[in-house]
Amino acid sequence: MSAFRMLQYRPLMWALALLMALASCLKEPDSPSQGISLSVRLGKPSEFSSSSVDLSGIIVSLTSSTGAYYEQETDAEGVATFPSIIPEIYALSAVSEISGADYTRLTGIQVGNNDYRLSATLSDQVLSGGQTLSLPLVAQAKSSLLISKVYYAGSKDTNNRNYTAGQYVEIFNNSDEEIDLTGLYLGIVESYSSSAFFAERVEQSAFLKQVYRIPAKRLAPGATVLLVNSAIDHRDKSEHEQDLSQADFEAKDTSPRNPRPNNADIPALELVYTFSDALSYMNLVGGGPTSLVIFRTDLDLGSLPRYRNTGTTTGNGLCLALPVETVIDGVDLLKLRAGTSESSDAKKLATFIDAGYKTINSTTGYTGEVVVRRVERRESGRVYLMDTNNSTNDLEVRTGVSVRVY
Amino acid sequence: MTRSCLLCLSLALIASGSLLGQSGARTGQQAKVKRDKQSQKPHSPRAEGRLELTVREASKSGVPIPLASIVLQPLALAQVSDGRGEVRLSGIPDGSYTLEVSSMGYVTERRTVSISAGPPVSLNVELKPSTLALGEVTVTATPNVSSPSTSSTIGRQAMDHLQAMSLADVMQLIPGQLMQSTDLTSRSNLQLRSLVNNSTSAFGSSIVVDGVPISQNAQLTQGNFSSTAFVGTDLRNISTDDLESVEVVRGIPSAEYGDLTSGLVIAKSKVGLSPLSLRAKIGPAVRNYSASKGLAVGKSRGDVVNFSLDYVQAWGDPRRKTRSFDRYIASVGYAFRPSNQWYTTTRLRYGLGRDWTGTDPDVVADGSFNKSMNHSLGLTHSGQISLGEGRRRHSLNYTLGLTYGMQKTDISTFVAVPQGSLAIINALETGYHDTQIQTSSYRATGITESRPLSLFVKASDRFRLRTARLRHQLSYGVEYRLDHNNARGYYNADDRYPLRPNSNGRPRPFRDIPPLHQLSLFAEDQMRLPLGKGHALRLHLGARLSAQQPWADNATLALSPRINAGYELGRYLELRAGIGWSSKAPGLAYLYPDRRYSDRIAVNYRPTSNPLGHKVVYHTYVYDDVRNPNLSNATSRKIEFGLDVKLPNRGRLSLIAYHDQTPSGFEILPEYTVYDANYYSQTQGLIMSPAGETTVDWTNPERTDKVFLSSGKLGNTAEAVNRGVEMDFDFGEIKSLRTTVYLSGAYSETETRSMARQASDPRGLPVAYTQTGTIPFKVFYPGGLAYSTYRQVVNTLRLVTRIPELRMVASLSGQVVWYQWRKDTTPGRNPIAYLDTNLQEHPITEAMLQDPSYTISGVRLSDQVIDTRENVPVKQPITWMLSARLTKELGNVAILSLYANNMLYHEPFLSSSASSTLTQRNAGSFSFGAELSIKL
Repeated sequence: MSAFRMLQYRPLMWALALLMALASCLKEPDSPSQGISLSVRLGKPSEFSSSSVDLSGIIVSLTSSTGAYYEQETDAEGVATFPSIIPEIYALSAVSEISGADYTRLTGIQVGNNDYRLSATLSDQVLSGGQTLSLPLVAQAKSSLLISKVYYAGSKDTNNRNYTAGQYVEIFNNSDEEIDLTGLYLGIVESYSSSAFFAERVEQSAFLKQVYRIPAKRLAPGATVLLVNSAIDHRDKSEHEQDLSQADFEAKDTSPRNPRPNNADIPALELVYTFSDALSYMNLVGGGPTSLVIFRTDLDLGSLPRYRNTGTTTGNGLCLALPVETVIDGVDLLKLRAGTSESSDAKKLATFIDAGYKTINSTTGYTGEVVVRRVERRESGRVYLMDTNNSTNDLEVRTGVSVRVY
Repeated sequence: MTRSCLLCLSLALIASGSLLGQSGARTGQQAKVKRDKQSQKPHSPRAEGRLELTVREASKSGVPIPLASIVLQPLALAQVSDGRGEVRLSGIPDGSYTLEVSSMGYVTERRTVSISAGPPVSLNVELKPSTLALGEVTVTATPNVSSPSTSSTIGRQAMDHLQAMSLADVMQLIPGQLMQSTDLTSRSNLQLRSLVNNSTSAFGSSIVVDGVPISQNAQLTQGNFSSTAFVGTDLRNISTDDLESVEVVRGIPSAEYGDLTSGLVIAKSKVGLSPLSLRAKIGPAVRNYSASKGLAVGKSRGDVVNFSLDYVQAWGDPRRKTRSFDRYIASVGYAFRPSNQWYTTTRLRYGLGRDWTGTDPDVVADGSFNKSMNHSLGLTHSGQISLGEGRRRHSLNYTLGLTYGMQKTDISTFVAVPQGSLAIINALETGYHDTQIQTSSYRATGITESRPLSLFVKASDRFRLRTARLRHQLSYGVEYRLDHNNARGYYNADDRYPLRPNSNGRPRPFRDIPPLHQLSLFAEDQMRLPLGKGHALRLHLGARLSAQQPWADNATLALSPRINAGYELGRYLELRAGIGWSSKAPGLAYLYPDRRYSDRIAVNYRPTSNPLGHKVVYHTYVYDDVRNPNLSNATSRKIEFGLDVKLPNRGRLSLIAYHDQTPSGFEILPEYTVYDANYYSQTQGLIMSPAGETTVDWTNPERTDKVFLSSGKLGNTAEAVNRGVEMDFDFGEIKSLRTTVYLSGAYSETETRSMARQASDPRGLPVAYTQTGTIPFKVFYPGGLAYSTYRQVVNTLRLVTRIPELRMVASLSGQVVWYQWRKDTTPGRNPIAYLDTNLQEHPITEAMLQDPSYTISGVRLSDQVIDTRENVPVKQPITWMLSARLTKELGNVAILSLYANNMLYHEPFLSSSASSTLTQRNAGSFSFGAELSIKL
C-alpha cells in the first residue's frame, strides 16, 4: 500500500529532488558529491565494417527536461564519462562529421564529396547512476548543394530557327545552412554519342570536357545560384526564353567569331578547362547528352589524366578524368534515342552519383524543355528539393519554367 | 594572239600531216604500180576493186535509206549512203571483207563480200525495220569484244526497254553497277568502278555527246574547295530519248579521248530518217514526254534534219512534293553531205534543267527555297572527209563544239542566330572594320551565277598502213579546249543580310578567273598481226600529250601512253591485256581557288547601360596566295587482263580483272599561313565614356593573337585504288523457253587515302589558348597511313524472253548484293613535326616522344600521340531486288512498255554487323511506270 502510494507520489518526489538538485546546481554547479556517474559508449553505425573506427573526441551531451546540460568528449574507446550528474530524465545526443572519403574508407561504399553526419539520440532516459549506456551512431549524408535546373534544350525562335543563347544551369542550397560556394567547380561531362572507352571507366571517373569555377559566393539556405552563357533578356526570341540579366555568373564567350552576347555587369564564371578551341561558353548540347557534376577538390586539375574519345579522328579534344569521390552532386542527362532498341546512350555518370538518368522528350532539342528537380516539400515558404541520387525520380522535364522558381 | 597562232599551227600540222601521209602513200602507189608492171602478174594481191551498194528498206515500197552507215571491216572503210541510198567504195584491196550496213531504226545487216579487181561488185542491201517481231532485240548492254578497251554498248532498244529517262538510268546495265530507281531531283554523276563517291573520279569521268565532251572545267561554285561538293557531269541533263547508242568505256580508252581519269561515256544522237515519234512515260513521281522526227531535205533528199523535244517533270517523293526537277530539251540536227567525200552533222541543242527544293507546306511554311536553273546552249559540228582511195585513203575527222551555259542558283532561307549574336562581315580587305551585329535570325537570299563557256576543236586523220605482215590503222590529231566562266559568281541579294555570314560566303565574280586553255596531241596505232590457224595478235598503241595553260606559271603537261593487246586463239577465245595512263587537268575551280578570308573579333564592347557606346570591330585577314603553281594533272593508271569466250548458242563470256590507281587526286594541302590580329578590351585598348561613344586606341591592344590559316592550296595527294573482277556472261537462248539468260557481276574493291601529311591542332591546350581560340603550333602526322577500304560483290541475273509472234519482250532482272563491306584503318600515329607561329617547322624526334613530360609551348607532347583505333569492319547484310519490264508493240504504230523496279517492294529494315540500328535497305528503289510510244 505504502509502496503503491510511494509510486503514486514518485513524480512529486522526483520533482522535489529536481528542485533540490537545481538549487544545488545553481548554487554549486561543480559539486561532484551530489551527483551520480554515467558512462556513455558510442556504437559505430551498422554499415561501418571496419573494426577500428575512431570514435574518440566526439561530444556527447545530456539535456534534461528541466534544462540541466552536461557534455563530455569521448575517449579513445568512444566512451564519454560523466562523473557527476543529477539523476533525472535526460535526452542524450552525439553529433560528429566525417568526410565522404572517410565514409567510403570505413564502409567500403563509394560516395561522393559530401560530408557525412554521424549522429545518435536517445530521449527520455532515466539516469540513476552507475550505468553504462550504449548510444549507436547513425551515418547520414549531409544534403547540401544540388544541380536543380538545367536548360540545355534551347528553343526555336519566331522564324523557327534554333536559339541556344538562353541556356542556363541552376544550383540550389538544399541545406539549412548558408554555404560558401567559393571554389565550387561545375563540370560538363563529355557528350560523345558513342564513347565506349569512357563508358567502361565511368564508375571511377567523370570525364569532363569543360570545368568552371565559381569565384566567390555565399548561398543562403533555399537559395539558387544561376549560371548562364549570356546574361541578357532573351524573352524576345521565344516564349520559352527567360530574362537572364539577373544571373549570378556568366560564362564569358571569348570565341574569336560570333561570341554570345555577354553582360559586363555580371561576374565571370571562371573557365578552368575546356576541351576544344575557343569553346569558352558552357557547351550544353541541345538534345543531350548534357550530364553535369558539381565538385570540390584540392587536386590540381591540370595534373589530372586526360583522355581522348578513342575511336575518333584527330580533331577531338581531351577530357579530364575527375575522380568520382570529389563529386558533390551530378545529374546524368542523356540524349533520347527514338526508334532504337535503347532509349538513351550509355550512362555517363557513376551509379552512386546518379542511379538513373533523364532525357528531354525530344531527340534534338530546341523545344524549350527544362530539366527541373522536383519539390520534396515546402515548409513555411522554404522549398526542399528531392534528392534520392536518382535523376529518374528526382528530375522532371517541363516547359514554361521561370528561373529560380520551383 | 599567241593562242590563235598556236591553234593555226596545230591545224596546219594536221593538214600537212595528212598531206604527207597522202603523198607518202602516193609514192608508194607509184612504186607499187611500177613493181606490178615489172612482175606482170595479172592477179596481183595488191589489185583494187570497187563496191557499189544500194541500201533500201526491206518492205514492199523498198524506199531507199539515206545516211545509212556502211563499214567494210577490217579495213574500217566507212561511208554514208546518199539520198538514193547509194554508196560507192573504190580502191578496195582484193580480198574478203565483212560488210556492215546499219541505219537508225533498222536491224544491222552483216555479210561477207569478196572484192576483186575488175568490174565493180554491185550489191542491194535491204534493211529490216527493227521490230519486236524479228526476235532480234538486245535489251542489255553488249560488251564490245573486239574493241581495244573494255566497254559496253547500250543500244536504242535497250534504252527503250529500260524506259530510261536520263543517262543515269542507263548505267545500271553496266556490270557491277547497282540497279536503282534514279531520283531525278538529285544530281547524279558518273562513278565507274568506284564504290565510294570520289570527287576526282567524278571530275575525271568524261561524257562525250556527238564527239564533244561535256566540259566541267569551267564549273565553279561559291566558296572554297569541298571534297563532298558535287562535281562531274550531271547525268540528269542528258536525255536518252534523243540518243541512238551509248558506249560506256570502263577500261583504257583510246588516246583520241582525253582529259579524263576514270570512265568515258560516248553518246551518239539519232541521225537519220524517222517518222514522227511521240512518247509519254509516266510514273507516280515522274513524267517524261518527248517527240522526235527525222525528215529528208535537200535537192536529192539525201540530207536529213532531225528534230527532238523532250520534257521531264519529276518529284523526289510523290507524297511530299518538296523537291522537283524539270527538264526541257530541244535539239535540231542536220546531216549534210556537201560532196560524196564529205559528210557533216551539225546539231544545235538547248537544254534547261530546273531544280526546286522548298519546305513542306504541311510543316512550317516559312518560304525557304532552293532553286536552280541550268540553261545550256550547245552547237556541235562534225565532219568526215575522205581523201584518196583504198589503201591511200585518209579519213579526216573534225569536230567543233561550242557550249554556253547559264546557271543560276537562288537559295533563300532564314539564317539562324542560335548564339544570339552574329556579325555581318562584308569586308574584302585586310584590316579592322566596324561590324554590325544581328541578334535574331533573318531572311537571306544568296545567288550564284555561273556561265561556263567551252569551246572544243578537234581534228584528226586516220589512215591505213601495212608493214610486212602487220596491218596498221594509224590516227593522230590535235585538240584544243577553251573554258571560261563569264559570270557574276556568288553574291547576296542584300549585303546586310548575307546568306553565309562566315568567311566562306564572300562574293566572288567568276569572270575574274582567267580562261583555261588546253592543247593536246594524240596518236594511235592499231595493229593486227595474223598468225595463221585463226590466231592473231592485236596491238593498240596510243599516246596523248596534253598541255594546260601552256604559257602560264601553273602550266601542266602530261603524257599519257597506253597499250592494249589482244590475242585471238581461234574463233572462240581471245585473251587481252592492257596498261594505260590517262590524265585529267585541274579545272578552273582547282587552279584558281577563292581567296581565303579569316575574321576575328577585335573589339566586343556592348555595355547594357550605354547603347551609344556599343562597339564591335572585326579584324579581317585576306589571303590571296591560294594558287598552287605546282598543281599537276590527276593521273590514273589502269591495268587490265581479260578473257572473252564465245560459247555455242550465241553465248559468250567476258571476264576482266582490273586495277585502276589514281594516286594524284585533288585535295586541300596541309599548308598554313600565320597572321597577327589584335584584341582590344575594356581593360586595355578601348577608350570609353559613360554616355558617349567608344573609341579604340589602335596602338594599345590587350593582346595580339597569332592565327593560323589554311592556305587553301590544292595538291595532288588524294589516292584512290579500284580493283576487282568484272564478269559478263551470256548463256545464249534457251530455245524452248525463248529466253536468254544473262549473268553479270563484279567483285569490286576501292581504297581511298590521303597521301598528304595530316595536320592537326594540338590537343590538351592550356586554357589561355583555348579561350582565345588560338594555337601555339600545328602538329603534323605522317600521311597515307589511315585509309578506307570498301568491298562489294554483286550479281545481276537477267532473263529476257522474246516472243516475236506477240511482238513482245519481257525481262526480269534480279540483283543480289552478296557482300558489302567497309573498313576504316586508322593506325596509331606519332607526330613527326610541328609548325610554329613563325612558320618554322621543327621535327619531332624519338627522344622527344620518349620523354613523357616533354612540352612544346606548354602543351604536352604525349597528348599529341594518336592511338590506334580498333575499327570493326562494317558488313551489310545480303540484299536483293527484283525488277520486271515488258515491251509490247501494238501493230506498227504504238509500243507500250511497263516497268516495276523492286517489284516485290523488298525494302527491309536490317542492321549491319557493327550496329544494332536498323536501317532500311533498297530505300526508295520501288517505282513503277508505263510508256506509250506512237509512230506516225
